[in-house]
Amino acid sequence: MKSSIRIIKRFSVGLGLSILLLPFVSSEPLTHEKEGYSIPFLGYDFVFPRDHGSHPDFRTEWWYITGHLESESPKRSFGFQITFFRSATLPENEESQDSMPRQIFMAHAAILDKDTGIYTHEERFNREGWNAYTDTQTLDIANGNWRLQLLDTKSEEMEVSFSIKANNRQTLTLAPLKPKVFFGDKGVSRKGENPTAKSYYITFPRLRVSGTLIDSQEELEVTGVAWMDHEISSSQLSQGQIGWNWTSLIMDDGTEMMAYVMRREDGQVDPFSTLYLIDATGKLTRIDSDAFSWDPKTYWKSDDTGANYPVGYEIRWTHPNGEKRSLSVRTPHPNQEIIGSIGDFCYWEGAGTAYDESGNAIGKAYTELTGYNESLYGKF
Amino acid sequence: MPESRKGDRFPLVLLRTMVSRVILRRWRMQALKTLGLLSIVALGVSVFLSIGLTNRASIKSFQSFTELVAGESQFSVRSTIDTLDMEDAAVVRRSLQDTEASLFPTLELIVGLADGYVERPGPIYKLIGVDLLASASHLSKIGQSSSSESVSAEGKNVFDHLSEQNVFFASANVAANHNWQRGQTVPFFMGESVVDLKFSGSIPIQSESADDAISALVMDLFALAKIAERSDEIDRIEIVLPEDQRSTTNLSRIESLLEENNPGHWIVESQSARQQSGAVMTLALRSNLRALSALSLIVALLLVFQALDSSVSRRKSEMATLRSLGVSPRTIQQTWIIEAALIGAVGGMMGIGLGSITSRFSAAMVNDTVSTLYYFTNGSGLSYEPIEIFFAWIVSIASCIIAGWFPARAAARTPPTQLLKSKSQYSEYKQSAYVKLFFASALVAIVAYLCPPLPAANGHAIPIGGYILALALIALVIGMACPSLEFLPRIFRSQSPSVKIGLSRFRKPVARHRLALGSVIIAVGMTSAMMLLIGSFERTVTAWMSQVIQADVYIRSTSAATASASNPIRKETYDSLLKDPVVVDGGTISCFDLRFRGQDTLLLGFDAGYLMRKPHISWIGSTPDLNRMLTENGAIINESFKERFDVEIGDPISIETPIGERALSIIGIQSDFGNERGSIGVDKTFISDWMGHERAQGLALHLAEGADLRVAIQEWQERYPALDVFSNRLLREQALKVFNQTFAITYALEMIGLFISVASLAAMLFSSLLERRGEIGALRRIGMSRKALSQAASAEGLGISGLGILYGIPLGLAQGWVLIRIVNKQSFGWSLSISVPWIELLLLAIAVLATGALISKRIGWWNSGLRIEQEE
Repeated sequence: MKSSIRIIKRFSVGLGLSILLLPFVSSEPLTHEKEGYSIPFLGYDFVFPRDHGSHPDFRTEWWYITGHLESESPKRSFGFQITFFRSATLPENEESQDSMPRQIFMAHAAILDKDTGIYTHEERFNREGWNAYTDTQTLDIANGNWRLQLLDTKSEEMEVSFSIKANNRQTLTLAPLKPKVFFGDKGVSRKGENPTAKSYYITFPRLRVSGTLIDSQEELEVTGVAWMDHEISSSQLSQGQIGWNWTSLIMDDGTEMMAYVMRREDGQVDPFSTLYLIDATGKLTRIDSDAFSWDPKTYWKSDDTGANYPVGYEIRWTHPNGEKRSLSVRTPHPNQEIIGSIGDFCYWEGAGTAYDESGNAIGKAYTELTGYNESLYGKF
Repeated sequence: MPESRKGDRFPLVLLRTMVSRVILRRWRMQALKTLGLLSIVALGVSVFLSIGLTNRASIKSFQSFTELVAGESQFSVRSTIDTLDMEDAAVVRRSLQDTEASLFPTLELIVGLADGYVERPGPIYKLIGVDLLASASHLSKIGQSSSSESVSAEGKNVFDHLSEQNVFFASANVAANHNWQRGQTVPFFMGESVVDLKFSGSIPIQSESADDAISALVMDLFALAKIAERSDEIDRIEIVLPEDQRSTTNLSRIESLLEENNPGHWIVESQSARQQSGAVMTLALRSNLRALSALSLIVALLLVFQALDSSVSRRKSEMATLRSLGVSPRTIQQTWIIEAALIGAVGGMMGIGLGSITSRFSAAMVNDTVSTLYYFTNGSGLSYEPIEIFFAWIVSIASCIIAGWFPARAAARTPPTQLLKSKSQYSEYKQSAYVKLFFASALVAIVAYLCPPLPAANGHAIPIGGYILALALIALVIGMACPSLEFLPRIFRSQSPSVKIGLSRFRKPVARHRLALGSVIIAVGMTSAMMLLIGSFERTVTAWMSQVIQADVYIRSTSAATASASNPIRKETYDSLLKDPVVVDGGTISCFDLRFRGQDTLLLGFDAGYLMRKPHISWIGSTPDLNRMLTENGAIINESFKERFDVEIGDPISIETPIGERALSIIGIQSDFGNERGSIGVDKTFISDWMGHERAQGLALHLAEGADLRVAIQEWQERYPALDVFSNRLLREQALKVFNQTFAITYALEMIGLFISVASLAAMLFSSLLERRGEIGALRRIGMSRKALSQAASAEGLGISGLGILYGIPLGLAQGWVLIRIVNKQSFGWSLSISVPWIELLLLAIAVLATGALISKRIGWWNSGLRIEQEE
């Protein structure tokens, strides 16, 4: 099992990184970790579209999109997730001794029909080559017939197409409504005490989505909003962490929020947990773990894995200006568990709605909950 | 009830009564005899069915191996020459980006078990390399799990398998056969190496629609490519669509996308076209087997004819009484036809049951032949196709009805009792009918001889005229032979009362005598025709081998014992052998699949220099100047290629190579009995330019004078354990062994035909003697011993057998000539010189005579012991 753990571990780092937006910047200019993979460093000069593309000298990388879609005729609404992962099994300068692929690409996609609650998802693994690739100079990624590509370098408009279970095919154009943001310190995000544990973190917090969705041979014109992360790192999870909760909220007032808590085995919240507020202009406000809380409110237990997920929760925070705020996230469709059919990795990734203190809907949410059916430490 | 309705119902009621009282009663009373008749029909049907099922299986297994992992594929992409590479897979992927097609790039090797078997190699298997990760994703896509069941059950997932070195998986039946335990190391012959692979359990990525019976081994594509030193190569790409997306429109769209993006060297085949490829490749073999199996059925049907005729003859008084009671001739005829149909139906059912056993044997034999001549198959495709079974059953019923038609008509013409008294009880087939048969079949034979062959899908031809001619010859000879029965007593004027009595039967022979004679003639004819064909083939091939096998030593991969195995020898290896101090000369040969003018054929890489230094090719027509292979793009073709593609010396042709189209000129035609697909050979320098590598499939070495052949072979065999090192003599023996193996099924079919004909002879004597029990009883009362009576029966049997041989062997020689000069030439494109195997024919004659005499004697002895009043 060790080898599979080694590979899955890298993907888990990818998933984990979506919430490990650690704010501490290393003071030591390390550029490579012990095994030979590159590590992010402060002062890195991001160049686009190159840095939208792949960075194979890093161990792990992913492009993660979650969003909400609606069609007018007929009136229907959907939530979707599509994530492309890349994981290196060997540093670039190391000679492969076996037939193990140097790069493995995992991808997860899910669609929730918000009207019926029908949820479908699919997992893919492919080695780099004939059936999966990434471009190092621009955003162009494919895994089987799933593809994400940059259409225009100036507007940074993108297109993603994917299908689930050979059905529910989507071809969606993603147009940034706000400039991309860089989490951490100038895009370098520390994830733990280890000086190598950091990532480059680039996010499009609000994308206008338009395109077609084919659901059971019915073609729908859809529009909506989406969130996209691109993270690049070579780091791993820390000892004592058993999983994480992560959320991205696209508010109706033009602002966004991203928050995560790292859950420790002793039941404590890891100090690297963080919350970010993004105002309408794209300005970031970071709130550290001692200034916010994530409180589970409602649970859903999976019949498949036995995991008991806190699918409804409340987040309370104190703004640096002293203002105390809270919101809650709920979903009427708790069955949004992704069960990895190949990599044996299970987690909850679901669409929901954000409500203010008065119970008014204020935005759209996507939440990721991991480590609920088993501790990820040791396995991931 | 209205009168007319009553009238309609009456014959039905009567018919039911007739079936019950006439047919079923007799079956009950003559249970053993009926069982015997049904068994013979069953045997004929089982042979016919077995060949049908085996033929289907051999076609099915042409494509079934990847199904283990991929399920049923809708399209397959392969190269017009040699192999595809991973870039082709990427292009196919991009071409189908907007579709739900899953792709399975596949590398296939033939490997043989290297340990524990006296004969090298042990069982051979197809080892399939597929991308395990992509396969797992496919299963995830179509909603099947690769991890939760098959993988997790063994405690591992796909990543564990990928990270282990040289692991393989086996289909459950193979693993069980060898009792492999997980983690066990199994050595295989692979190419020129012995490779230790670790058995890692049952195939982890397995389609639910896969056929459990498929016997194959699976590895990760990239691991296999690495150990086989075939990195980046793939044999083909299977394309699988989700079940709900296989509409004609969608399939057309996929095909169009593939063709639009075809860089020129892809062969895009739909599922049906791929099946057709396998079918086309084996068309000639299958057609000939079908014809042979049909002959067994025909002989069995003659027996049905004979049995019914005998029954009609013996029950004439019963029929006459029925006529006198007002039963219409039509009802009587219908009754007999129903009996024939029932024999066909019940015998057919028994044959279907028997076919489940015989098809296993025929599958084993046909598989060996198909593997040797065409492509690797291990019979895993054998399944009891309902269509094939139904077809055999319908053929059985229809044929029995045809066989029963004339006896039924004879029964219907039975006059009422008062008329019957004044007429003979024996059947009334007239001599003139045989004369007519003779002339009619002679006419048909002439027309058939002149009939041009039908063009077949494989570029050869379907020798329809040849088949008809062979059948017409049977009718012609029977037309000639039957009247001569009456001459037997006149020719053989023995003083022995027994012989006199025995032969006296032929003074007024009944139809059954003629039918028995016909059966023996057909069986002897068929057997001697095959003897002539095989004898001629053997003689021709032996002579051919003595010309072409001139080197002292031949070397090839041990696992290359099947037609589709590429299993190359690396350049470093053959160079090292060619430079061995004891070697004074040598040459290599390489072989590649080639698509030429839309047909599959072979491209051979010769060492032209070696061919010139050591001339050994058997040329048809003039010997070419082989220098032109080096200087003028000269190519040599074999006879099958010439026939299939209708080309001649001097014709320019062009072939599609990996580096583009190349023009060649045909300079010579070689005699070659290795395959019927045809081959075109060029110098090896062209091959290395086109393919980018210099692998070879075989190597011929000439040793220095005085070198110790045995020592050299032993040394090389030890140095290269995965190579077969043959001496000249051993290679000839091996080639003849393959030859005999190829004809194994033919021998088996022959034997069954012969057995049925002997059964036919026995049945004729049986019924003939039973009919004459009164006469035999009288003979016994006047003092004839049982021994004398059995001798009389023996004489009767000998008479039929003798005439059967007298006419059967010439018939066989004529049919053999048709097989060699027409059927074989048009089907396979091979010219054979005719060589009559006199000794074998003599042995056949003795065997048939002895069997006929012995069985007749035995039946005569038994019959003479029966009481006159005893029922049959």
